[in-house]
Amino acid sequence: MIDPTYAIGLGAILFTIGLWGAFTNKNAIIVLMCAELILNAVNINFIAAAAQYGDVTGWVYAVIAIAIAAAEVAIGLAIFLSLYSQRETINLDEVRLLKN
Amino acid sequence: MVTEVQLFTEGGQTWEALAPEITLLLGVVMMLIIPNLGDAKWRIPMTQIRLPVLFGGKRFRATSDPQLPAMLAVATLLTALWQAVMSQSGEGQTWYLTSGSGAEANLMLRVDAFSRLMESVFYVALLLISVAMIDRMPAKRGKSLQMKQMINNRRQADFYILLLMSAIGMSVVTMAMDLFMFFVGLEIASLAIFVLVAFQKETPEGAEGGAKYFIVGAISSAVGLYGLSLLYIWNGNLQLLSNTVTGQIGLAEAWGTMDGVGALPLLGLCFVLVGFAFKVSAVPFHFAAPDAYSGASAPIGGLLATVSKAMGFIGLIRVLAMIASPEAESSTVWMMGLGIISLVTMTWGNVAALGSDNPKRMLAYSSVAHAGYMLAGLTAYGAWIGEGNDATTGAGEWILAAILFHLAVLVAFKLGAFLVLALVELDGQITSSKDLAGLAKRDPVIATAMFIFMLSLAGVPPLAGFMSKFLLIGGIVKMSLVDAASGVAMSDLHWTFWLALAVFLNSAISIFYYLRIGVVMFFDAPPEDRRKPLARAWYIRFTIWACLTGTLLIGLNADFLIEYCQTAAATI
Repeated sequence: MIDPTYAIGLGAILFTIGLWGAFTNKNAIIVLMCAELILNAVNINFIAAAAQYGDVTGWVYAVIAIAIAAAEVAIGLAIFLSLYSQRETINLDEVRLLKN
Repeated sequence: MVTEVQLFTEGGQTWEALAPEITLLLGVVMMLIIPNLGDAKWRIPMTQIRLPVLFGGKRFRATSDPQLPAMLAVATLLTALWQAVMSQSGEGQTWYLTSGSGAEANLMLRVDAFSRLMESVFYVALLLISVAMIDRMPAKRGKSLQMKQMINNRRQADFYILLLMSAIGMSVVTMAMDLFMFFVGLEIASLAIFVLVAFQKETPEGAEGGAKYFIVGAISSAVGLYGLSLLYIWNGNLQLLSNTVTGQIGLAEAWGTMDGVGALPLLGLCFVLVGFAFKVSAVPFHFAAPDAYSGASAPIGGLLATVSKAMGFIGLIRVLAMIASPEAESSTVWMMGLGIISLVTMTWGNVAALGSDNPKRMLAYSSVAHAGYMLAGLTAYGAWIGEGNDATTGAGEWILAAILFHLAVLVAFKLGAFLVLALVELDGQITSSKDLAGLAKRDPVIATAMFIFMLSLAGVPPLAGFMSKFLLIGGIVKMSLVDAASGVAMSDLHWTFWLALAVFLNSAISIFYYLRIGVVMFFDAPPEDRRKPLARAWYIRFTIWACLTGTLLIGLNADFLIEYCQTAAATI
């Protein structure tokens, strides 16, 4: 079996990439992909820890986290689609109608 | 009476314990089926015999009524509310719901006075919103419908399904005793709320507010889940309480007994707090809140300001009970940090509200300020536990009851203010305070109601808002006097006293912008395009009157609610 530390390290790298990407990118779809990267890091962590502790709940957590991620993508894409049909853009810098 | 129940086993009391949630789930299923009933027939292959399947085809007159989904939602929420209240009447029932049995039992949900109180608050808020939305999405039938009305008739069912789904998520949040369970409930509710915020997708504001709220919400909840996974790596389970039968050590005990401060739990907890801070819109995660409030339709803005915020606070209370334990070495540092966040949050919210001309944004910033007040209360609560006191006695119980009371009465006056805006919004989107100008001439009753809501938000006696702020400040002061043995000298005061002072000063500042709305409504002339009397939307008016009654009655006699809140606070 692979040492769980490596898996957790991979999770940390994925999390950092995801968070960095979410803050630096302006395209809504890419930001959504970055959120998905973070959720993948969550899954890797859960599974690595479950393997280490020999605890079934970790796997159950991972499966439910995947379901949450899927629902989030579906909702996100639908919202961005309605934004695009209004503005012809999903660049978050150009979407600034709402202010004081 | 305490009962232990293994979830979904024969002979167990699962259905009894989870009656309101089962009702909500049935409501969702009914909402999917009943509006689709029609005269469709299915032909048996190779024959001429047609069997009626009743699903699809031309819908019947009763099932195609555009107001039917709203009525179903109201009936479902009323039933759930009745079940939630009845289960706590008399001596009050407590259920511990576990998954697995014996040595593998995990405590998943706990049904007690606290969860039932918060559930009732949520159901009442959603009930008011569902009634108000009947007028916001005009449901009519007939041949001469405009395009927009036809779209709205189709979307009534969608809206109420989402509302009931969010109610299910909220119920899970109130009961969860496993941190992952808590997050699942939070996600069920927030995913539905994301869609509700973006529901006005035909307007540019709706799509934009929804997209911004979704992006910030998705990332903060992903970060929160990452924090959970770190806590799981650290502890091996995500139970809040330790279990003596299985020997599992819960997060609270593990946190209290760890040597020094490990990097893993520290990072994990910080990330989890990010997830909750977004929900309560605390600084620095408040940026999406004003956009979401002003982009969404006004009743949904009210939902964000009351219900969605309460969910985040339940999470903070649960986590705080874990980190503030007196054995943990770092608890004072945490409380200091939380105190600074609360100070920044309330001040920033008030300053931004002073500079904001759009009433919806003003209410959004004021709800940021209210989050700051409640965070100040939570800080004092944590400090009380950190001093080694029992959480369910003295100042601890008082403050917690005050926070719960504040969350409950916010539904009366915060939601009421948003409902008034919903009524004014029927004549067109509200973009500046000019749209409220001359409201007293157009409709004196509604203008007076709005004025009372504003006074209550500012904390003027004898209204409900005064009671809640009085309890909150009183609780914090009581906590800060804990070290003072006899007489009061400044040096004896606990540092949380300054938070009470900050809440008081901030309330004083906030009176200015709340009263400005009153001045605009009563003394300014209405703008050209808003001279006519307000729309005769009886459903919205009814909800405004309900909120007004609540604001006045709770302000005059709050004993029963405070007592209930104290019972709830004692069971946390």
